[in-house]
Amino acid sequence: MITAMFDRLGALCVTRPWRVLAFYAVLVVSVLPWILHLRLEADVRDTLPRDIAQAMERRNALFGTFDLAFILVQAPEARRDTLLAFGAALQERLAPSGLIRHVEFGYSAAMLEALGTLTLHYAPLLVSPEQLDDFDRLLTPEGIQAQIRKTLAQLSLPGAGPQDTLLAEDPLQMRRFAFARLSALRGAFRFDPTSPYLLSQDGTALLIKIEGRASVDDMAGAKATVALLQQVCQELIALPAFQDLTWQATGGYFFAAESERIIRRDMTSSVNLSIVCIIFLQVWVLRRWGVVVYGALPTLLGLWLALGTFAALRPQLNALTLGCVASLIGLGDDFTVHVLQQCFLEQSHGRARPEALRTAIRDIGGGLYMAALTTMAGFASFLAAGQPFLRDMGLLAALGIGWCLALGVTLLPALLVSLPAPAHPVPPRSMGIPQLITGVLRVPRLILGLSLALSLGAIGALVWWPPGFETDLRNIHATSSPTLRVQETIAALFGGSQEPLTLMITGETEEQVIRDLRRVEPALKDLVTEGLLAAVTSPTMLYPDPHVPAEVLSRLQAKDAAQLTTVLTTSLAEAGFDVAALQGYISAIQHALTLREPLDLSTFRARGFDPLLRPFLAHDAAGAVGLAVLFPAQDLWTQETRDTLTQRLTAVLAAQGVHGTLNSLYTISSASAALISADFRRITLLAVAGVVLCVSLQVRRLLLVLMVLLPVSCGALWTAGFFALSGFKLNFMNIAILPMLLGIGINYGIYVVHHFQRHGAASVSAALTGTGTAISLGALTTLLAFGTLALSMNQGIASIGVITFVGITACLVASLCTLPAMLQVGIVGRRGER
Amino acid sequence: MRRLALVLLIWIGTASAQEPLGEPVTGEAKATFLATWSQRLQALQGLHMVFTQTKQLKVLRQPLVTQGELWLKGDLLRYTLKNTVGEIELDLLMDSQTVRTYYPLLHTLEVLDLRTAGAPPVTLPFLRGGPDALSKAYEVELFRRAEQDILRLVPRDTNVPLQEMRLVLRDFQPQEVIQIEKNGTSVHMRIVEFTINPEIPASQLALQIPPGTRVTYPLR
Repeated sequence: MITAMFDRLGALCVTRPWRVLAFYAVLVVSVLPWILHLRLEADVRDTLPRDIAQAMERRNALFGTFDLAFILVQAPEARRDTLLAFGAALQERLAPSGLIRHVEFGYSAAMLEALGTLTLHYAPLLVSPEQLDDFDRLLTPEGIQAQIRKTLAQLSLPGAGPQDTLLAEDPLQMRRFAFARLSALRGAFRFDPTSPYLLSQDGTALLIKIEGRASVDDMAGAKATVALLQQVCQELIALPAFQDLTWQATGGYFFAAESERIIRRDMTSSVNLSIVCIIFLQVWVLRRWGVVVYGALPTLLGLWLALGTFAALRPQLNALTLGCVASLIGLGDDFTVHVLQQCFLEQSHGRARPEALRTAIRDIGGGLYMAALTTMAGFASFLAAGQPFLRDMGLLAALGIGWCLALGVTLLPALLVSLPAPAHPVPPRSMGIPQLITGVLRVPRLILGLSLALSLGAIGALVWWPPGFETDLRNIHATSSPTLRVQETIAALFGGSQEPLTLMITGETEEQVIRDLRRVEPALKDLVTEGLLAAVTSPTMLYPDPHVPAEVLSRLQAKDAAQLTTVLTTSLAEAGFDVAALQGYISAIQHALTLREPLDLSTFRARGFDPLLRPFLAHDAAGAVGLAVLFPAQDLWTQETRDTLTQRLTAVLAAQGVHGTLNSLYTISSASAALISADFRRITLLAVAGVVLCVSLQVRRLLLVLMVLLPVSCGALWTAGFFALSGFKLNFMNIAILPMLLGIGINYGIYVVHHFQRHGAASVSAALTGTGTAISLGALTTLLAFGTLALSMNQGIASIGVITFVGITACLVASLCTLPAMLQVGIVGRRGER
Repeated sequence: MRRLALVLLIWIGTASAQEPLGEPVTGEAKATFLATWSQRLQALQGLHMVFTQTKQLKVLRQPLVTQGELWLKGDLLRYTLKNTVGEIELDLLMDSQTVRTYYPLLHTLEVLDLRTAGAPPVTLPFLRGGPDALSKAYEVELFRRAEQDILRLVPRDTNVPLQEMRLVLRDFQPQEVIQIEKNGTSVHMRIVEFTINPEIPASQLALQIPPGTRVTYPLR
């Protein structure tokens, strides 16, 4: 029935070619509006578990996107003024931009002034439990006298510097109680402690933190932000005042733009190289320059129509889905190759082109149809994925295969028959396939023995070295990332870990969140002591535990503030200080000594500490959220280091009964990878079931079903064995290729078995003479389409190229050697014996 | 590098800012001087110095006068500062990570972690290398007066508190250093004794802390 259907279809196309061409012309134009309205999106939250995605969304709403860019400006020697002038100029130029929310390279002058006053006026309230005794001892007549004497001794140290100013402004050194709290807010970063700016200790570098308005997941926004920063920095660096400065950039925006650039470059070079190689190969094998035009057209139009159909079904397409386009070129091209190869073969036997085309479509149409259905079934399994981009990929690929088949068996014959035919058509090159088949059929048992040995070896390798899954996330990113290098430079200059983790604690009120954070604080400090964390920053580092101020105030109440003020004044005068000049300071100390009430959270904020607390504590209609920023002592790229820390943190939260969510580049990448991996395990199983069902329904004889499945089974086994031997690991990018490989590999079995049946199951050699060449050409084009990905800079994409190259090669070898040998021994041989 | 810097620290000269600087030395003569000076400093492994410092601060009604002694060997640096009656007011030992300051008269030892506190308590702006490094960070002028060579250093970075510094040398031996800050602070150090690469016993580079001394960590 299928053969008859294709016979009629072929006849229609060769007799009424212009109608067919016009039909497709209308179709191609008609999908244009849908394609133009198709929205491209790339939101990483789609690849995350729901709770993490929701936490991210809420955090972004409350605290901003947290998407940052860092500009590192360096001078050849200490040039604080120039660096700060650069920072100020950058701030000024970026301020009007709608893309930039905030530019920071230190405390603002207003903030500094406010802090100077606050840290004196409220010094007792900022005392930590460890400092209680020191504080108590300081605020005695003897303590004040001793401290003034110490300050004088410190002022006597050789030379002069910024420290002298601090000592002269605060001879009692009351600000030291705030110092620990304020420096804790800087996390693991080490800046010049004598400067309020983010300067390196040697004054040769300035770190500028830029908070953007766009999310890094919004690629257009991220690229626009990067372009703006690059443009402004270039303009500034060209000014004479900054000509000896250098600048580098990193941060989320630059990582996003770099990844997009590298992947786009990888894909562009891969597609271009693939197209050139495929054209060259097809022209050489089919011996006609015309294939450059009519060989590529059905595939390209097929992709266009698939995109149009997709757009008609779904209004938006995940950008990650486009990664499958290169693969579709290789897959869709197979149908064209088979039709052309068969048609040219028929022509070389003396048939006119229309007749040759009709015969080709009739003879191979069924096989192509079965292969397309099977591949589509493989891709259809993607629709069961949890990840939207995988569902999109499955739908687009299935549509693409369907359209490529339709165009290969209709548009291509119509097009060919409309073109002038050569007077003396030459047959396509056989690529040595008939000789190979003849050789195989001479020693089929030896081939089967070798195949069995190879399979047993592969099983042995798999048992001995079970296949692993890549857990080091660096191995799926670009091999050399300039942005990552800048991040490393910043870590080396300023300390701090390269990427902090954020512990997000939620509660009904901010006070409750603070209480929860305080409960986990000792355990977090233990992690610092153990060396798992380098530093921890949270609102509790600044806002004191009410018990401590209460204790401080009770001790303060027992003191005679007036007497202490008098002692301070006298001690300063005796030490030679100009008391009149320090009158404001003495008043501030007097204010601190007469504090009687602790500050509740809202008063603490209202008095001026709000700008320091705001980045860590906020609330919305759903309640309050507090952030603890955890700086790992080492980066967490590997599963082991990630697990060690996250398990401990999870245990800490569980032990304290605190509800918190961990967020970081590592955890997000890890969670995303885990979800995608889980999806693919399910998809792969579904694809296997779908493909087997599809083949069984079409072939209907168990022995032939097994024959169809033989090449892909052998190919998969040998590939897995090869990778077990070579230590190659699956990752969440290359695992995506497994269902595709299954679909592609099984096509080879279908083509061979279909032809074998068409030839009455009598001669393997006759069945494979033409089909073997077409399979080889199709496989080679697929190899070229995928294999060029192995040259990608992005290691994840490169691994796709490697796994496909090995997988397709293995399937091809099994199709052209093992399967013919098995058909010869298992069917032709047995029939002969009977 | 740190040693060279400390040598420079010691060379804070005696000629007051008001004193005439002498005849300017420029061109090849200046380059030769700096090259010879740099060469002499190459051999520096250790140092012992005795000095007297007078510091004037706006917030103080009268200058702070201190007698000090310094030992340097490798990364270890020790200062002792005496008050006008000759009592040790402050005894400081610094390595690359920690500063320990002992106040014998107050029976107190303060420990400062440089990794968190950042800069050492003595933050002279020229703590960044020898003569070669100086010319990168400062406009360097050389003057000659009688048998003295005077280096006038003006920071290229106008944001630093230092306004100007003068080093007075005689036969490449430091005699005085004058430091003038923009906020009006001035430091005048006279070097009484200056010995390069002396024998320094290990006990000299360790603090002797008597039992019962209170230990504090002010910035922890």
